[in-house]
Amino acid sequence: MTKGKDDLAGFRDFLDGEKELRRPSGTGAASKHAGFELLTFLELESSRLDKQLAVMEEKSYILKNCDSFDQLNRQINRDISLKNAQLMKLLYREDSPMMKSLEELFSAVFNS
Amino acid sequence: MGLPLYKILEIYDPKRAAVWAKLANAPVGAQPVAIDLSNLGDRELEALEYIEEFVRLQKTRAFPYPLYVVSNIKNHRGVLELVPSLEHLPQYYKKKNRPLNMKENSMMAKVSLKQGKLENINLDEFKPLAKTYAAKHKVIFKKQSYLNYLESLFEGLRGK
Repeated sequence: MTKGKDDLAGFRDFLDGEKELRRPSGTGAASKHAGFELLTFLELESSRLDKQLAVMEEKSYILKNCDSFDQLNRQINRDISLKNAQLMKLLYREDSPMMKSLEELFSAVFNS
Repeated sequence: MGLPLYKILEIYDPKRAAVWAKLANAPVGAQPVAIDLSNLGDRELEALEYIEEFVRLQKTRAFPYPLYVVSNIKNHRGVLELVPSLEHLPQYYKKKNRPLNMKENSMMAKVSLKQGKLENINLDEFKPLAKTYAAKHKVIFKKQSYLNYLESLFEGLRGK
């Protein structure tokens, strides 16, 4: 340990000088980072406002003039009716699970 | 317009005239604003009622920038968003204000332009449109969920 200290003899003044030079200043990395923070914030804010403008200007115009609700509603009603019909067809088949269960039930009740 | 950072309005007098005078000069909607009622103690609720009255009667737009109230009132059900202290305000608008450099200035010019455009939008026209759109799409969503249920039933029965 003492030998290590002796090895620094002659360099101490230089090392102390280095420490003084490294003293944090206003134009250091921290302030540069702070600058980018504000720039990033402004970029984010700009894109946020863009999105709001897109909704309120462009999409609201489309909503007002070409509302797709009626068409979507008609399409979905048709799909529901079709699926209901398919389901009924499947359920009323002789070998369907519902018919089998009903058959079991009726035979248990009336054949006993 | 300046940087969109918090403007803190400290209320010391909970009387109607004083609260309204403070709010009339505040850039509500044009900048994020936080009204600090924490100095009022027991009279926070009184001031809050006047603030809500102002917002309702003057049709203040908390848009594109929000309006917050810093208050210790618990379980308040109103139109305004309450936070218990300044530290609880959303971090997004908490930045250190300083003179902007060239790059930031040009970005700020873009932001200002968009702020101006948003201020010119007629919210009275947009709000009912958005409400109708939302209501219609709730109907579509419910019907689609029912259709999905029917489809899963159909697939399940066909598999047996």
